[in-house]
Amino acid sequence: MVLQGRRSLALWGGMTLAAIARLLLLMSGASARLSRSVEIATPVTSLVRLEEGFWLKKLGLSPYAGSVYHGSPLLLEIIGPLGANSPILFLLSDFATALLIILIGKRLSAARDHYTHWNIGITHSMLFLTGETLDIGEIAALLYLFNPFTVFVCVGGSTSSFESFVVCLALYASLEGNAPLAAFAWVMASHFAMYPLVLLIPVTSRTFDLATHILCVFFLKIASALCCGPDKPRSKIFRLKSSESLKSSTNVQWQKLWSFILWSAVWSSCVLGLCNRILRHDGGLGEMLRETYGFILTVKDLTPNIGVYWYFFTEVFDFYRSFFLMVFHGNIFCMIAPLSICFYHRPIFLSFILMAVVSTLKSYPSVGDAALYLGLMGLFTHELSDFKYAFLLLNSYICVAALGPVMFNLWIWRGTGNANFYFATALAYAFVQTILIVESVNSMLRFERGLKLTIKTTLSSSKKDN
Amino acid sequence: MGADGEKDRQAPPLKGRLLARLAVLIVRHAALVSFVCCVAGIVSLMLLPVLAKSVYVDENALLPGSARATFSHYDTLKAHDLAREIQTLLSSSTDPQKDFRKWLGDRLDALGADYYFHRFCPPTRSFSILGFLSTSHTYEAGKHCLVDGREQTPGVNAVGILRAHQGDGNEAIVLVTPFELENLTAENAIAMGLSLSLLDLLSRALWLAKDVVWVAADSKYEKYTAVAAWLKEYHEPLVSDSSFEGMHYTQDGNSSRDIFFKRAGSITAGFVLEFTRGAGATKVSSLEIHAEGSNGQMPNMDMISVVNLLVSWRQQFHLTLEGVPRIKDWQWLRSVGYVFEIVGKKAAELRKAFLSHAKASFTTAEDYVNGVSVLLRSCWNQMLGVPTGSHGAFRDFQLDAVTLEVVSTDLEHNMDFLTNFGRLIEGVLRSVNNLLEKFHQSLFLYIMVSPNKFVSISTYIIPFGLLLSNFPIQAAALCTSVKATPGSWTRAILVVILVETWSLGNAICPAILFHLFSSAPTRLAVWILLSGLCLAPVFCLRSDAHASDDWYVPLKSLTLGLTGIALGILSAVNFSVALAGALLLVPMCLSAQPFSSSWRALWKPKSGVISRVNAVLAPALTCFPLLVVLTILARESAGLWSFVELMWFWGSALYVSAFLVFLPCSILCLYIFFS
Repeated sequence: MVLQGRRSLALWGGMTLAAIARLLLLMSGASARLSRSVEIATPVTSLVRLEEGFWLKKLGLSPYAGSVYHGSPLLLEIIGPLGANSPILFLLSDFATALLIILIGKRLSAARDHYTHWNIGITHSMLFLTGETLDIGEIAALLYLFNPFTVFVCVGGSTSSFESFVVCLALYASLEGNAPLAAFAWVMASHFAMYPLVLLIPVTSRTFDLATHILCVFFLKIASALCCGPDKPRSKIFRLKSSESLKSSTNVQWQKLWSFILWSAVWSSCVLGLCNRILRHDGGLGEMLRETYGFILTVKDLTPNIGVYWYFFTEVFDFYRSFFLMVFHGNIFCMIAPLSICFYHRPIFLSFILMAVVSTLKSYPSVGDAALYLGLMGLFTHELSDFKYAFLLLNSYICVAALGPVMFNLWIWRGTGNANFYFATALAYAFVQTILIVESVNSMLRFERGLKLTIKTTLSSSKKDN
Repeated sequence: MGADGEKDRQAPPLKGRLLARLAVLIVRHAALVSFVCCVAGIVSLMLLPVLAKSVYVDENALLPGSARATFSHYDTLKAHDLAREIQTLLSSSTDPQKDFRKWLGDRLDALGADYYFHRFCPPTRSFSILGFLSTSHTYEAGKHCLVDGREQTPGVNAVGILRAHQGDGNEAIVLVTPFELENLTAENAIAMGLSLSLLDLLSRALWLAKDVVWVAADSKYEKYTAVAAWLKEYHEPLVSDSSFEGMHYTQDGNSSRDIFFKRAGSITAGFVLEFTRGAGATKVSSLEIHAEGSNGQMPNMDMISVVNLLVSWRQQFHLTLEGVPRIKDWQWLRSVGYVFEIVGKKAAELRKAFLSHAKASFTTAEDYVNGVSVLLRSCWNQMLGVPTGSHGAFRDFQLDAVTLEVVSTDLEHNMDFLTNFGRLIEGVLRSVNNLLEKFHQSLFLYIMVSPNKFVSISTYIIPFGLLLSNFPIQAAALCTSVKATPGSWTRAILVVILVETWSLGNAICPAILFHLFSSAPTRLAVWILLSGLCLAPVFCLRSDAHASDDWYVPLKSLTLGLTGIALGILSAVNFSVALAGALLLVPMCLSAQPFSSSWRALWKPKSGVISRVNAVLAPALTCFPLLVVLTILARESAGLWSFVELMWFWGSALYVSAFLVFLPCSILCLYIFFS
């Protein structure tokens, strides 16, 4: 009971503190300053641009006129009328995301208990005392809420926190096996930000295991039986054990696949229909696609940001522009297949890695993307317990986060620096994220190898005993 | 081979690639490396005046001194006449404000210049309780200004614009002459007279390609405020009802034409002319350059080097920079200077022997001491972050400006000096007039050592880098040496976050207390009480983690990492603050360890020399800042609040770094020490 009391105190106290911090920042007038920062508000997510689009719409013009607004017309209808009160919506969406992360964590730890009762030695994380006071989901949620990136994005007027919420909803619904909700959230997330499209495989791999099945059968010819459920060790490891209980869960749920496809089709047609209705007087769906997906893909806005695109595309010859656009965007999509093959059995980890890759390589990144994947990373405190360079990475994130605005200030406001100063920071940020991704994948693979080894030795010893 | 094998047996072999091996080697000998780094850092810091380079003009288009100056004794006489005219006008008039303005308007009209009067109010030094992050200074003027709760008349700048004959009106050079009508000194009158006489000359100059804007800045409320208000209106016009009201509100007798704000293209450079009476009975007139803007920002170095080049070419002036006079009496510094002089002589001889073309120059002890004095003054000005004059207002809009201050005791009878000064200004203006584009790609990050020597960032970053490199090396050494217990990192992170939040609260506190209490001592007392009370729980946050000897290692490495990052970033914002911080924090951070363990290290027979020395020094170094703060509180408590207010008002980097870097770091070190 005492433990339970401390736990809920830590959780609810933390949540209250997070809310207070956000409200204080909102009242201190920080949002006006933060919304101008390129690290927080991108052309796609900026709330200022959204208000501009809303006004254009109100005046009877197309919201996309003048290349100001580049988001979804639905967001325009939801957030636009709120005006100055919209940070409250983002605050709520932050807390909803945190709740979803807690729920995801519950499912994950349930699955983990499922395989840890074989007495597999799991080293405790160096950073966190898990299992004693807080559940991993709760730790991850608190990490998400207290991450300065999340706080600043929430206060600073950017729709990123809303997007994070929809992404987490999709992941949660897919873990629950709720096909309509998963399809809805996935469609919405992809509609808002395009990049969540890459989450198709993690989202479906739990609900149906089909995408992974296809990948395995057609590309790798691993005819292993697929097991469903949240993140767990490779099925091959379990087959060593030949547990009865697992066989039941290895069938592919064709019925759910069809329902997902059906629901996706239904929701996308709904969304597109709605958008078409909103934009019926000005351009319709064609303009919407041009100004949202097209804008993201063709990188028309070269305002400096923390990504790697703007510097390159201000320099590149027009002649080669489309080629390099394909190369840059291809990077993300090249990663999907190998990562999915590697981690098809861990959909949440796979989505964490994919979100990190997207955040590194997307055309208009903001720290909001980092906030999401760093929050999800908290769910793997067990698996990533022997994460190397944790101290170095922590320091590098702090360093880059502080250096970015300083370099921007030196370049734009003081005039003593130049674009190279700022781009160097952006490169450092990309580098830090790459190390994070590579090291996470490495530690996860090491963890699985260790798990396999432990099971093998316990098996052989038990055989000897027999 | 055999020897190699023996060596391998003695020490555990280094594995991995070369880079990794090097890193391991450095980490293994971290104590030695950081000692060497510290010593090298201090030595290279002392060497800075010796390593200074000569100033040069980077921008080719400036062509300083390529034309003959036409400013003559006749113009000087005219300046004297005008000065006398001003003085008689002011002494005889019943409404000096109105009469002076009318006189100035007539003068400017006669020169064919556009003129107008710009009214402004000093910014109110208040922060709204909420929204203190979004407040900015406004200089908007109504009929009256509220200054410290009293109604006062607004300041009025007189601005004259000479349209260039050859120009297209897109660019302008600004000349600023501060004046104070209430107590106009003879020097001030001459400065006005000289400026008007210069304008007269410029109105006839055929070479002028950029408009010349002359701002007679009303320094009723500080010189800076007047220029800042005018520049803000110039660049960010405020369109509101009250500004239209201001248009209708005319000076009695003046038409509304005189109030209408006029502009003259983008400003290329600004020069502030000031005349002051020299202290003492010295008859020598000298010219002093001031360049430090807000937060230690310097103008493009060409601004100083052009002046320096013209002065040294004509050999008519004694050009000086502000220094710390007391330093020149320090004997030890002089002896250090002698050492450097002897070493420099030898080096010069060697260089001459090997490279026959090399110039054999060395720094004499006298130069060295002067250099140190100027360098320290410049660093001090940069550190405070308060501009040294009205030129600082230009830097806030990315414009380059310097103040040229004439210090003289006897200007009335020193015709030659004034004529030469007029020629100098004419020459500088002519140089800037030659510019084809914005000043760029020259030095902005430098510290002056003497009027013709400077230390650029590439040089002064070396000692700083050497000092700073201690942080990552020691942090890495700590991280690798001890296997941390599971809970210690959580606790360390928690403590660091708590202390950082506390410091942030401390930094914001003055803005809120400003509203709640009216008297400075109450504010200070409440502030100290509040912060003390909030900090107490952190120090009580002790747990069973103390069981092991090395519990403090994660905390210390986090402190080292954060402080290193913060100082590194700070060096890009304001180098002087970062350097002062490094000098203060490096010894403190490196020696921080719990009192109990330093006690043990002192008496343990096996402990090495370094750990013993560290054990002795740690208490002194860790408690040093605490003692300093306590003494300042005890002795200067009255001035402290106004100093804090000043720092907040200027948005000084010193304020930010004192609260977000120095304070948490020293608190964390104290936490380690006392627990």
